[in-house]
Amino acid sequence: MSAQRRELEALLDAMAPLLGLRVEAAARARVIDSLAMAAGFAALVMEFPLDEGAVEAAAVFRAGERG
Amino acid sequence: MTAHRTAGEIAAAVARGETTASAEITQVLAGIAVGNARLGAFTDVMGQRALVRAAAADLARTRGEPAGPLAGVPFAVKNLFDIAGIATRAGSKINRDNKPAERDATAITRLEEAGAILVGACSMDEYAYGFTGENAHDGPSHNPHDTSRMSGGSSGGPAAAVAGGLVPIALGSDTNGSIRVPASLCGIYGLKPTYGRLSRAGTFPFAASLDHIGPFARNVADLAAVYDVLQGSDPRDPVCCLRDEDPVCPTLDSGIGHSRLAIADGYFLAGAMPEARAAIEGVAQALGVVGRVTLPEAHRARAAAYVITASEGGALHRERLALRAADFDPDTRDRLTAGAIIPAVWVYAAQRFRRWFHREVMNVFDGVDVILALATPITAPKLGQKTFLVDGVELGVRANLGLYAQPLSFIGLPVVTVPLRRAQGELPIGIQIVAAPWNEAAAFRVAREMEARGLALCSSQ
Repeated sequence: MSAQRRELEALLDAMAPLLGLRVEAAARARVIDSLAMAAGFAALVMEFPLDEGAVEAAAVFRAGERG
Repeated sequence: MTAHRTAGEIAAAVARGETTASAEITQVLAGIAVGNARLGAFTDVMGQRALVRAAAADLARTRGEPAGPLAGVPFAVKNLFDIAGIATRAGSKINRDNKPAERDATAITRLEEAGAILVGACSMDEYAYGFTGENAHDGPSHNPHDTSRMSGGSSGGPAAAVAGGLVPIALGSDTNGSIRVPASLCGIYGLKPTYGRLSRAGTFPFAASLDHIGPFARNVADLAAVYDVLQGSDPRDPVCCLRDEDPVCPTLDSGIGHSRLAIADGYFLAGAMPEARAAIEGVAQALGVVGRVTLPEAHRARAAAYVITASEGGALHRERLALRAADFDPDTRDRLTAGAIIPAVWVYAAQRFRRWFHREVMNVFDGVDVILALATPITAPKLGQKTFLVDGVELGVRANLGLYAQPLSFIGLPVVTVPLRRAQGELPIGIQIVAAPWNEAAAFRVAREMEARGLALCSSQ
């Protein structure tokens, strides 16, 4: 098992109870696979350099509007 | 190939008194009763409601009231649109236990105010999390061109219903490609408008910061007519724009003489089957398009869209995951579970990248008005197929069907998906006609030009 996979398993084991989620043994490998895919995509995003002062997150919110 | 009547033809015939809404709806319901067994497109057929409304419309006509622009036109919706009186299942087993919707979704109301008549709700990937049209609870929707193949998803049922001639128009939703992928695989027209253009009120969400709704049709005029009726602000949708409506029908036939067109290269051509690449190159040649543009870091845009989608979807469904995990399709459940525990740092990084990518693509639109890109890398896979081969490389079907769609919806660009003319026996494939935000009209004009020149053709089955 890779180091990243062990870390993702630890993340799952820590977070799932906090969120009230129970992951059955039969589903565990698929959840980790999915987390690994997300981790790979997140790494691709985070390795791209962005100027901290110039790029604000693209939250969908407009102050003063109702709804 | 069967010639099916368009929405425009039906509305014109009703307006002239050559037929009635009741006759049209009766005929369509009979067609659904036969055709749906083959396609698995509908999950709820609203026959009684449709006939009652058709009778009321006919009565109004006898009193001299004017016919609406979609008078007597039957339509269907993906089953994540609220329909008063039934639970909005959103492709799930769990939501069937919800109380019935108290009112119709805004989009349904607007179409019916224009004279159209809802005939039913259509199947979809569970909670819209998929591109295949397969569903563990309802079974798959089938591709009308070859029923052993996928319709595409997640708006698979509405696309199959339109492509199969069961209805002339339908509504779907698109978070990462869920209108554009099935439109491409089923060989019909689809619109994913600018993010915030059309009201999503009364639809079950997936990833709210990426969710759009839009229509399917078998020709550009019908797609444009439905889009124009759907426009307008709506206080029930917090991101629905306050901009003035911008009807596209009046300028649909203005041509593309002054439009600057270009093909998206790089990411948007890599990974495609050779005949798909050849098809879009052929279209470019026929339209005289010589320009090429590169949307920078599109692969990272797709990655960021994935992270945001997974996180928003996981958060939306956390309570259901906690209380009713066994009632999900296991595949949907496990991806949503992973999404629910994604670190916030990843999501924040993706949202910052989103701002950067939006800015860069806006710069691209300084030099071009409309961008052409493949809608899917392949034609419809077989139902249950897990991988496909491109240039000797094996790729996953589920993860890659939306490859070319995801970076564009990530920043809310309007896209008309157009079915390319195919040789007899070839499966459909579509291209995306992409414009700058709020410039749907430019994309529609290119679609119309392609249709007029015979480059685009919907061959409904």
